Amino acid sequence: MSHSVFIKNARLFAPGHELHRREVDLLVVDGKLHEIGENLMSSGNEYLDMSGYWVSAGWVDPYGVCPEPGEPWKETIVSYTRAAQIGGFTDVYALAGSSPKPDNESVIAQVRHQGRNQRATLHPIGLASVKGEGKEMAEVAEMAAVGATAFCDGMQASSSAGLRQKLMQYCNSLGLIYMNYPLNRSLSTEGKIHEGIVNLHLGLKGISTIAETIELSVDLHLAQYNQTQLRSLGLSAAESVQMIKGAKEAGLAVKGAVAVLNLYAVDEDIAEFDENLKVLPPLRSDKDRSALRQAVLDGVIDAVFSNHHPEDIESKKVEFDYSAWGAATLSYTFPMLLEVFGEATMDIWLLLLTKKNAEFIGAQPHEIAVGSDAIFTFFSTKETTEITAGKHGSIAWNVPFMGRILPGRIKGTMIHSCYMEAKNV
Amino acid sequence: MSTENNFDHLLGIKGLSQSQIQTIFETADNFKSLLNSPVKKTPALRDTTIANLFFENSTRTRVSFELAEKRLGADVVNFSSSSSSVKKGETLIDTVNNILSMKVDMVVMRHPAPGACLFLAKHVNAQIVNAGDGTHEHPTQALLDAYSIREKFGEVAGKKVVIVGDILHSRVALSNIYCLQTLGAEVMVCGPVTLIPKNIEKLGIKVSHNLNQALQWCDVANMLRIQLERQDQRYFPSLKEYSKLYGLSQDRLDHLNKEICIMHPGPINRGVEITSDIADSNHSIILQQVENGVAIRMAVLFLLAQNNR
Repeated sequence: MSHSVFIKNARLFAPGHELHRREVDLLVVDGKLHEIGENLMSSGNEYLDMSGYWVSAGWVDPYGVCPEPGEPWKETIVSYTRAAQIGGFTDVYALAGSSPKPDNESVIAQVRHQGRNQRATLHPIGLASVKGEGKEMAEVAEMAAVGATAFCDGMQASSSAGLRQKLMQYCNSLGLIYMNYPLNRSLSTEGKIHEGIVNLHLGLKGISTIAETIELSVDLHLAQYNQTQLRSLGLSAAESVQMIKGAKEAGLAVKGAVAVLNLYAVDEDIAEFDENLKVLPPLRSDKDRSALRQAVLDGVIDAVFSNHHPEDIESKKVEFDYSAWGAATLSYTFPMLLEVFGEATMDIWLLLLTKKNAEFIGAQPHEIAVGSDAIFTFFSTKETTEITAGKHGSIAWNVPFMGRILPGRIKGTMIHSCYMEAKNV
Repeated sequence: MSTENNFDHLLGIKGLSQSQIQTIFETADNFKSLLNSPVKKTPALRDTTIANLFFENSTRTRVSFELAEKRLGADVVNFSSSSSSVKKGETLIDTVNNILSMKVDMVVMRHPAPGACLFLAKHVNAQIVNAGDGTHEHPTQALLDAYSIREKFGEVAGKKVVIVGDILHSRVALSNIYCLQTLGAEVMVCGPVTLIPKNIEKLGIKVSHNLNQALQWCDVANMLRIQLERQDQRYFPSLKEYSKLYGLSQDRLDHLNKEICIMHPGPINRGVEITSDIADSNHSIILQQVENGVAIRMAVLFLLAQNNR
């Protein structure tokens, strides 16, 4: 017996679709979009009135960190995917596992299994090197065989150019995605925040932009020399934007991704040693942030990711020097982007969540088309979201900008025929 | 410190107004007179208990604070630990709250992590005095340095002060820059380029890598110690080479066409940043700095306690 859901009065977000930005009705039958149009006369087993809300293809987050397996008190796969769903994501890609680390097929298989049938689907990212230490290649093909499609060593690894070259070539030959966060550790030793004026005032060693651009330059040369694709994860400097733009104009197969906090905040926000803003990539200057924002609007940046990195109070509520890296941002990615860019340019930046993020990570984007899987996100640009800890799915303690009211709110998501309200239950 | 001439904490010099610094100096003037009198003590803080928490090694700062507290009649508790609270398994907040539960009113803290005093001020219910937090600030050192310049020259405004040495790892340099600028002095930093933080000129100071030129420019040279314990890598080839390029010697002073005042926050590495003959000469006010340190710390503690009453 078939199951149908009739969705009424939703505003369609699907740039390129003839009904884009129009109020539409959608009929979902057996998990697939059966019909879409204006003023449909239909009915279903379930009825959803989405008056006042947008509907788009389900959103994809291409990078975050999930501490389970290993440290479930910081975040579980269940709470991670709950936070993702409350943030509007139907699919999240994450380095999942702190102990053991996701550098082998058994951890990837476990995460892949646990990541299914959650409120959002968690897809495992594999470590590109053994233990993520940047010394030896991990068994990427073995991990790919059990569900990992993309590989990287996260934000804190330091691999040599030689290893990165091998990984680019090897992954490319197997049709796998290798991503690298470009940061030269020897140029950022002991660095805790962006090297500018704020680090001087705080007496903290800085992480220079050149520590990023030098490694990005190496990666671009390697990609050109070996004729491989390059996924550059976590660009934070204005100069990096220019380099990516130049590489694209020169015909290189390069894609760049930026973390949402680098679009939203700057180093001055850390002026009182806010440990929840101790993140990699570091929050940089207003000039850098402006360049990143413009690059998103110009299409130079191909993806935006949550960089969700949950931590517990014991790891964070300590002196800034000793505080762990990372911020919990998954539920607030969309409201932050809406505040940064506004509704007028939504056709450009929201397309990253609905389409380009998926392409960045090597996945097939969801789409709103008759016959396609019904994987949708419902959201409002008029309602608001308050940043709070413990109320938006995640159990992480390290939520930055607590108490701020951001524009936009997620109404819910649908995966096949299953509609879920964005509620912390 | 918060509102004009009111003092909640002393976490750093940044944010202090000229008026607040002058208030500290004028209060220190009174305590310096007291220290030079036969009695040397006042019961001003007889109802106050102060905990000195030193998570880093210190001799002169700890002794100076302890003496200041005892001269004010406060009850004093000392706690020293060379390792951080985190490494010992207890958080800083827990450590301090345990001590505060014994009815301590004020905490003087030295800590290796920048921002540790601000962190503590946010999370515990006590007045905090920063006795040096990592490479961030050392406010009482800057106050006593500026106070000593004021004593030597009558005023700080208009004086040219060069801070020489390891600026990158120095909390004294940053606090001195803020304090001297607030009081109207001109500031230069001088040292190997590898020990000068990038962008420091954006704080409104001059930068030089030539000690002879810097000495020719200044009225006061504040010679900093090379902080080998904070250096995660080598920033210059050898102490011998450093001393040759940036050490202050009689020969360098002889080549100046004027007299300058020599300062050092201590402890001195004799023969490295300064030769013994200069450290002990009439140009030096190093021992006056130490003496003034007690008066300045008495003033800070007194003003903080006043605000809490």
